[in-house]
This record gives sequence, C-alpha cells and structure tokens, in this order.
Amino acid sequence: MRRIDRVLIANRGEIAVRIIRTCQRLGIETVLAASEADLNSLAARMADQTLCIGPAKSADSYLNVDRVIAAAKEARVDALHPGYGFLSENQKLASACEQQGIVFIGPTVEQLDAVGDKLKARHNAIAAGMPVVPGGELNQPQDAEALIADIGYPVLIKAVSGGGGRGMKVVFEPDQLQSMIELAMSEAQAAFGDPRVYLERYVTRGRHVEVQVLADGDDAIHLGTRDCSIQRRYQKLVEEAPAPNLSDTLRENMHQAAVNFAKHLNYRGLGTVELLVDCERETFYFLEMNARIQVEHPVTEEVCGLDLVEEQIWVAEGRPLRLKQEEVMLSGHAIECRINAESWQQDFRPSPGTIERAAFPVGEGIRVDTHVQAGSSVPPFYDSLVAKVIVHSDSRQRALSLMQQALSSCSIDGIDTNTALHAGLMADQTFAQGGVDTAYFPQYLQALSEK
Amino acid sequence: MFSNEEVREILKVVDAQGYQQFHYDTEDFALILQKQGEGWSSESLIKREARLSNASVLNLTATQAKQVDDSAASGNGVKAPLPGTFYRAPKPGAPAFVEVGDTVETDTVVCIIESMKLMNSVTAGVKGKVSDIHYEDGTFAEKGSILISIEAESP
Repeated sequence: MRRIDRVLIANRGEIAVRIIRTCQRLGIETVLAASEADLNSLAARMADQTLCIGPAKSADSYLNVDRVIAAAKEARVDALHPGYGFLSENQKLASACEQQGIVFIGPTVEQLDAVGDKLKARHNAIAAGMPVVPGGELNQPQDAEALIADIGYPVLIKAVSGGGGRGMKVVFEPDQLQSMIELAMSEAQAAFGDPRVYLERYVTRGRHVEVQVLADGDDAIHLGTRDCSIQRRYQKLVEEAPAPNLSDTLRENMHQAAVNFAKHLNYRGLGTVELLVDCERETFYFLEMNARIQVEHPVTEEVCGLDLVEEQIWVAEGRPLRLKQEEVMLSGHAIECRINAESWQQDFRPSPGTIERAAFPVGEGIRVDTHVQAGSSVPPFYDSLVAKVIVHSDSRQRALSLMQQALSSCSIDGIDTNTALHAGLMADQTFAQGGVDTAYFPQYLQALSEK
Repeated sequence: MFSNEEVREILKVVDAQGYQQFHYDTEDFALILQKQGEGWSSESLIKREARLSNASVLNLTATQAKQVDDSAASGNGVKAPLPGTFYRAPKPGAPAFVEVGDTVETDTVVCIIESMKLMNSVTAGVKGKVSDIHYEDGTFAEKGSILISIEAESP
C-alpha cells in the first residue's frame, strides 16, 4: 500500500479541473503538466504548481511520454493521473511510470494491452463468457467470404488498434467488400500504425449502453449503467444514468457480464464495459472496454453518490475496494449534456476563441463541470468540450425538465456553443420517452436541417 | 475559491432570504449569483495566476510560425478562415496540394486548416499562380493570417 500525497495531472481542460478538485478535497498536492496553450487555464490557476511540457501541438506535449515522465520526475510526484484521451490508455506511459516508481492511476500495463487491442479484448470477452457481436478476425482479405457466411450483411469493418469511434467502415453490398477491406486496412495503417482489421455484424438498430466497473485487482463491482446513444459521428453528446427502458433481467445480465469481465482480467481501477443492445433481438453484445475514467462519469457519480476520482486514487494506493456490491445504492436519474464550442447550425464548424463571459446554471440537483471562466481561451488545438451540464432528480421526467431549466441559465459569450441544440433535444417528444437507439439522433438532426 | 457544494450552500441562504443577486469579490476570487426565472446562474472567476515552475530540465522553446509582414505580401492572399494548424497536404506523407509556381483555379484546395481535430479545406479563391507559401507545414496560424499568396491571372 502506498499513500499518494502528490499527483501529476497529465491532461487539460475540464478533466484536469475535475481531478484537481478531488485532490484538493483529499489534501493531495497537485502538479499540472500543461502545454504552452494552457498555462493560463483554470486548471493551471487551481493547481499547486504548473509545469510547461511543450508547445500547443499535442504530439509535442500531451501525447509526449518522455516529456510527461520528465515532468513527473521533476515534480517528484507519487502518482500520475492521465485523465481521458491523450495517453490515458497508453502502455508506454504506464510502463514508464512503473519503471520510475510512480503510481499510474489506472490499470496495469497488461490490462491496458488486454483491452486496448480490440481483437484481444474480443477474445477476452468470449473467454469471460460475454456475448460478442458475430464476427471474426481477418488474417487475409480472402478469408472475408467465409466469415460473411456467419455474419451476414451489413457488415462492419473495424481496425484492431482503433477505438473511440475511429477506424470503422460499414459495407452494405457484397461487391464492395474487398475494396472496403483494402481501404480500411490502409487507413488503419496510416491512423494507428497497425493495418489489421476484423469484421462484425452491423447491428442496424442498437443502443449504446455501458456499465461502470470499479475493481481492486481481486474483486470487482459495478456502479450501474449509462446510456450514450445520442451520438454524432460516434462522438457522444448526451449521456444518462441509469440506461432507461431496459427489462430488469437484461439490465442485471449486463451488470453481471461486466463484473465477470473485470474479474476475468483481475482488473484494477475504474473501467467501462461498452455494450451494444440489439433492440430487435433483446440481447446485448460486448463492444469494447475503456480502461480509464470517462467524460460521462458524472452521471454515475450523481446516481450512486460516489466520487469516482477518489475511488481511482483509493485503489491506486493498493487498497481493497471500500464497498461491497450490496452496499452500492443507485437512486434517481441523471442526464449530462456536453456543451461544445461549435456552430452547430453551420455544420458543426468548430468555434475556438476567447470567452467573454461564462454563466452556468446552479441549484439543487444541478452540477456543471467546466474549464472556462470569463477570459478563458478555447484553443483550436484540442477538442471542443467547454462544459458538461449535469442534472440529477428522482425520475427521468423530472431530470429532463430540470435540464431544460438549467440550459436556459447557461450563457457563454465570445464563442458559439451547441446549448440551443441540447435545449431542443431535451424538449423532444421521442427523446422524452427514453430508450432511443443510435440511429435516432442523426435522424433528428436531419429533420432539423430540413426545417 | 469555493467548491460546487459551497456555492450551492451559499445559494440556499441567499435564496431563502429572498435576494435576486449575490456578489462576492476578493483579490483571489469572484462569484456572482443571479436569479433567472425559476433558476439561478453562477459566474465565478479565479483571479489567482498559475504558479509556473521554472523547471530547466524540460528545456523547451516555443514554436514560432514563420511570420509574414502582411503589407509586403504581393498578389492575392489566401487567408486562414479560422485559427488552427496549417497543413500543406491532405494527410502526412501525401504530396502537397500546391507548390510555388502551380496554377490554380478559384476552387482549387490549396491547404488545410485543422481546428479541434476537424480538417477545413481552404480554396484558392482566385484563378492564378501560387507565388508564395508563408507558413511551414504543421505550424499554427491565427484567423485571417495570409497563408499562401497567388498572382491572379490578368483578365
């Protein structure tokens, strides 16, 4: 067991602020590793110390393992929190931390490998008894025909080293299969340095439901589900906990499958098992596991009353889980809306710039996680997430109306945001019924653009 | 500065007293709570600057984009439509869209400005010949900066 007294936060934006908040509450010293573009950021103003790790360009700063480790050593930290994105699931960083005697707040290198490679993750899921989407690996393009016999059309070609919505192609017509496979392989090589692809049945109507797990290397518990079916181009926009309109059996089966998977891996830390719910067949399939804290973690925190960053630090110190499964209480319903710096009516064109004023909703059941205040810059080098507005109430219906109220008090001047888009969706009749699948939001956007 | 829970506590007291607004201002931190219809909004400001370490071990220099004196740029300037990273080719390793001396049409894509992971194609805007490329591949350009100069074809 190793007490963590000083942490290097190797990330930026709202998650850096989020991690610092918990560390401050726990009395842990914070050192921020920031690029030149983020030296005046909210996280930098909050941290006990800020180290500049390079120029704005991510490859030379946030994605640079050597520089991040150099900063961790310079600041003599006990631990490193990698946040999400960037190097959060990078085996080289986790390994370098281990070599330097720095606790990596996340799973082990082996576990990152076990789920980072999508094929290995699939094999592990099957070994753990979890249903996977019918499919298989493609050793040579010619093998595709044999696989298709099991899978059928449409088929999804996925990059083995992809993830997070990248490196996927849908094939509807048999005569396109070979050329799409070749294209997918060359794109995978270019984007991920690994040309391997595999095939999966494309589930035409699916809900993206994920299960939050927390484990200590021996034991694992689940903290309920989240529904993330509102996506645009595989990027999540709205998330909620728990996933609505699921039968109790289906829900409990998903919980168990996720816990079994974590136990099968002797998983340590926070993780999310992403599942695809096949609405037509009332079954679920393993998609991937994210071995890090996720953007949407607040909706789980609201519903289970835990601080997930604190739980990460707790198990990273080598302590056993504080809670048994039967002690986990899920109550009410939470929804999160991601406020992005974009002109959503101009084809979602990004809107970087300087914020003149930032007023956010506040009150009972309302929470805002942000990295901006008046004067903050939203730089063009990184993602467009400006704030997350989260509400929690005792029912989904109340949560929806609380969110509408909250969004009306959200006013950000100086950049364009998608706040109005969220407000419209929260008032939408179909969304109000709950349980829409991933095809819904693109249709919703299409209908809006036709008006 | 206040935690989220602390702000909610302050709000409860302020609301219970029947106030519509609350201002808190110190050297380090400012907070404004404003009643808005059924709900409230909050604006907070952490004024304290970052405590930057002078770690010499990191030994870093700022990247400098090749700056151009705009008044000296001849011909028509292709301007960056938004701030971002200037790329000369569609993807790494691919040939550049244009080189100096190439002929272009009005809608020829001459470069990309990448902003928040999205690629924005930039067109020539005039018919003519590329006379100068002002930025290095992969460097940052402010909105409106002149990226490429084109000698317009005489009518």
